Amino acid sequence: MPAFLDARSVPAGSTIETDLAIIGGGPAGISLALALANTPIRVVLLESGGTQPDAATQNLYAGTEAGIRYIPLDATRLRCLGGCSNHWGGWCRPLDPVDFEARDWFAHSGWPFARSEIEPYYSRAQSLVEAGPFVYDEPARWGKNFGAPLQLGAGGLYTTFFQFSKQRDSVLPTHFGERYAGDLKRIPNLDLYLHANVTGLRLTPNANQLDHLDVATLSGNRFTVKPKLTIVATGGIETPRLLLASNDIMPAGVGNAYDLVGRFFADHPIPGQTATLVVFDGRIAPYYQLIQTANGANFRAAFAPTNTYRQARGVADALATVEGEVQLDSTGQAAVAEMAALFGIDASGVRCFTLGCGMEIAPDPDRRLTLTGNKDALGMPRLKLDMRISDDDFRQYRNTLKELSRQLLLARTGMIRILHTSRAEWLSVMDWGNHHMGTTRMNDDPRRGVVDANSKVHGVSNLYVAGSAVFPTYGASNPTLNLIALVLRLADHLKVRFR
Amino acid sequence: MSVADKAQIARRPLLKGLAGAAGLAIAGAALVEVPKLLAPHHPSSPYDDLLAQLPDRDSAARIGAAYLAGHRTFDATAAATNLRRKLASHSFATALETDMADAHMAEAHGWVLPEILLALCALAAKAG
Repeated sequence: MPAFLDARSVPAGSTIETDLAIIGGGPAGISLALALANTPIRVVLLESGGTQPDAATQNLYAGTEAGIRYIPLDATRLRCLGGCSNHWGGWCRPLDPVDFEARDWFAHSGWPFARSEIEPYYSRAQSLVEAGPFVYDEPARWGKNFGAPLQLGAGGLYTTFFQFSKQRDSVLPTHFGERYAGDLKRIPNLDLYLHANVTGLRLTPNANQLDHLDVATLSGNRFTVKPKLTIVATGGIETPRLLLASNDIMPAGVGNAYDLVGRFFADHPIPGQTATLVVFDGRIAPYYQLIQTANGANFRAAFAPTNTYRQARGVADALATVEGEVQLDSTGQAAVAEMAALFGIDASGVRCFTLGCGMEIAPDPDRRLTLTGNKDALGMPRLKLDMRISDDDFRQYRNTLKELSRQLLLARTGMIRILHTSRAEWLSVMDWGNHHMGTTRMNDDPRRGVVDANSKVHGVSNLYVAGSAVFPTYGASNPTLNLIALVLRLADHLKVRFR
Repeated sequence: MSVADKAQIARRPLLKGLAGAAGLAIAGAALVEVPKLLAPHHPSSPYDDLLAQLPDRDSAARIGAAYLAGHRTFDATAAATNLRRKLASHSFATALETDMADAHMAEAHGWVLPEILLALCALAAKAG
């Protein structure tokens, strides 16, 4: 089996010509390379790191942050083959149909197509993340042994299911670099270069076409790649950095005629311990708290708002998970006693659990990445992130929790205590999903999006972006499965372009 | 045995019977009254007609105290008037169901409960 190529050994100053260049060897770049394997398209994949993380390469990611606390820019990503799949949790769930819709109550919403457009790609994406059969919200297919979902009264939330990327030794989900190294090496038309950092997207003088890529290594080597088409698949933070820093022809950067590149940065807020869930009779199916295995798939339940509820009540997405068991506070004890007496039910076996959450955040143009005057070891400007979250994001999630409590009470199942009210309280328990999205958002109108519905950069005929950087809105589902489905759709588009 | 003796003997069962009846009456009264004496004593309040709807007034008062902590402008008189109006045409159970169905929910220390219950609980806390 041939080895990967090492950019440090490429003759300095040389030019590598190819049909297609993929910048970035994370889940998006690797999935795209695999999808083009049986085509005549000659592909060069340029990965900045090696097969394992190293400190010097990782330091290329370092930047600064302002606003609310966020994960340091060199800790929220991994710069080696496999990218962020090397530290992901394996959570998978398709986006909901409403996520794609333009909603007048959700500013800047609306994908240029419906979910049906990527629906055909989900099963292949599911295979790539090794999450077993595509089951999700068909609990009957998980089998009767696990028990029924918690009974909820009529209303806005329902029990939904995550599936998980294959858990090796019960610990690790699919690490794309390690898992697909052999497959990548066997692709005859693919040259995969490790330690190859793209430092510039060089446009033709008229700026409507990408001419070549500048490539540099930390060892000091520099060379050029000249592709017919280029796909930037470097994630939601590095993609805008590369576009903004490539400003020799277009002073504002590539694809940035309308000052959109780097804006609308998003991640999923994951506030810990958002609520207490009371189950009056203490009986709860095991899949709420722990990953279960059935029919070759790993799955776990969460509470999600329905599409109808989100539209009717104007709330963003949120996925609430059941976490550790806790004790009732004195008000809770009184509330359980009172409700049990009023309902005429036996609550002597009552149990309580904390609820965790993955929230959707509203698109915000001022939550953005910009270049600073600081440079990394390759001379690339470092980034500054202005991180924000609005009070309305918290308000919407509170409303969703209130609805869940109402439904639990209606069904005589249980109730909810919401643990946080003020912004300070929410921020004190805030964590983030490491899901970088939105910074080269997709819209058919170049004044509202950096890429079009095919993920092609507006105004540049042969430059595309692959990955969650193009998500105009984010849902609450983890992005990996969804971005891979989108990448597989892009692969089909590219096959047509090269025909 | 003289006649008087006979009469005295005849009265004994009667007196025993009376004493037994009195004992039963006292025991019966004790059965009724002692639990009342042992039960938590709540001072009378202007809301007792409403608070009679609550199955556990002490628990309700604890919930009510938590509710009042977050609703310092709670107007007990207005709340009582509103509750009486609601409960004039519907049972408390029905009103509770209606609140849940119509999403009339409020919070006490973060606990999300029907508004009508929290209003009653707040009155229970006010009543002491």
